[in-house]
Amino acid sequence: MEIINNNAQSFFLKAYDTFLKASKKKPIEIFIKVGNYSIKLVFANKTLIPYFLPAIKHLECQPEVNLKLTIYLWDTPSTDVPMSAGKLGNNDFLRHGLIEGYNSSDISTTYNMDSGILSSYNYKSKEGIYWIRNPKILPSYEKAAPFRNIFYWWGQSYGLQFSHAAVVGTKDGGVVLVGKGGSGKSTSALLSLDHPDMVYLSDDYLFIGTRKDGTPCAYSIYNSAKLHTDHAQSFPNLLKHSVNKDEEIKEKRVFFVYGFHKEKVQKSIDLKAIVLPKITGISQTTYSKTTSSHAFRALVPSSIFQLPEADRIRTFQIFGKLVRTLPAYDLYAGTRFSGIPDTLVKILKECMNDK
Amino acid sequence: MQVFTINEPIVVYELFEDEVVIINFDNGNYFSLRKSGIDIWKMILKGESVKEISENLERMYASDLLTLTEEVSDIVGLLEKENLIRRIDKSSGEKRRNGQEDFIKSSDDTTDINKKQVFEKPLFEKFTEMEDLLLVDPIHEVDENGWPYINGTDNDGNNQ
Repeated sequence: MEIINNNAQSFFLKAYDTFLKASKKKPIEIFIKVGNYSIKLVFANKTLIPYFLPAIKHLECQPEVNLKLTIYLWDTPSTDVPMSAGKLGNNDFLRHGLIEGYNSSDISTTYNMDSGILSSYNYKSKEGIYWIRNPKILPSYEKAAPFRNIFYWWGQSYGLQFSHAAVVGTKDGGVVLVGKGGSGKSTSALLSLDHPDMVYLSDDYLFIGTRKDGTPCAYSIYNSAKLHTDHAQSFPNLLKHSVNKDEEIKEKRVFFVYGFHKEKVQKSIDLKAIVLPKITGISQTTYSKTTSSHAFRALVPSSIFQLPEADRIRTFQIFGKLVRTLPAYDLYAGTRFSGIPDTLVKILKECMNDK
Repeated sequence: MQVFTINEPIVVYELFEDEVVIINFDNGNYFSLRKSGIDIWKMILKGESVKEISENLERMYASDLLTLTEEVSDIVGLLEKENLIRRIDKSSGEKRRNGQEDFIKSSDDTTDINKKQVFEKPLFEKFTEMEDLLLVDPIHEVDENGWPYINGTDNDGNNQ
């Protein structure tokens, strides 16, 4: 039974009208491509561009007409156009920022109180609304991975599963690095930048999909990477590229890899293995095969629980299929860092030899 | 007779050969169930009671019914405590017939202890690190346009 929620539709239309008011002069359009899907970002003015473009710069492309997604972006301070929340009470703001009454089978809406970001997506028209209360208070993680919720909702229509993982690889294919925060995903991914044969797709979030022949693949969304401040000190060559090295120490250091290693950033890759890094205290890096169930446990909870409550069952099933398709490995990451990318290359070669 | 069912829709699971991974969407906790716990979970899915599960395990494993009943009761208690399963009433006649048939088929000689597997206690692990992701936002004020912000900060993020 389809639940028709006029409130959700009305709110979305109102938000779009507000965007139109905000973009009094001609709005600025930027086009990107995720996989083969063209996306248009329509900025009310140039204010928000430097906040969000760096993370997706590597996906920028020429204007296209066959669009699969359009996102309208504005902020209040630079446009002087406020966005009304409508008649909402305290109890209408739910987990993950979902707004009671503004979600239906056709519309998904969240408001992130921490960052002051409204995300709303219309599944029928394939349009998104992204309003920022005040860009000056945006945390670094929002600039590193903008439009997450809109991409998650949109991706479901195209078989693209928004996932919490890092992906690096070689010409043979890619590995998905999975695990909870602090397990060594980001470190392992960033170390690939120093390896001559390796490419980089993501540090934190990406789309996992399948090619027409059923091969699992990954699509880059953000070329950003983040490291804990303390840990980033171990990578002085990297630290100098951090875009927030002077910020408060509690924030992670953010890097836009496309800004200093353009040639390493890859937009898509066939996936060959799932790798679960673990930090050891010993110098040598080793690896061993592990089970699908172990990979599932490492991948699924952190992906599912960071997403607003859309189709979690479907997400669950997609990941279940992925871990049964790809071999999984434990990576015992050593303190001699060069061993980590060397071992990832070994794992990929082993996967190719096993075919 | 009381049997159990998965506490849908807040609980989902994925069944692997060596493990059942169970997720509680309500609180962010996820669980791993291994060893004989996998068989117990499968029997719960079939709607078996504690008694039926224990008797079926006795056919499969080289262990006595009392020990098995204790282990099954313990694990069912844990699953219930974590809101992963809930009790339901089922007609005893129908369930007994359906459940028993499957397990009698899979074990031709139920008295030959040499053909039974070594019983390994169910292994049940709980992981709670996702709980924080599901916390509702802290108490907040609302600005002039109706948007909440965290108490103690203004629209520019400055502490008040």
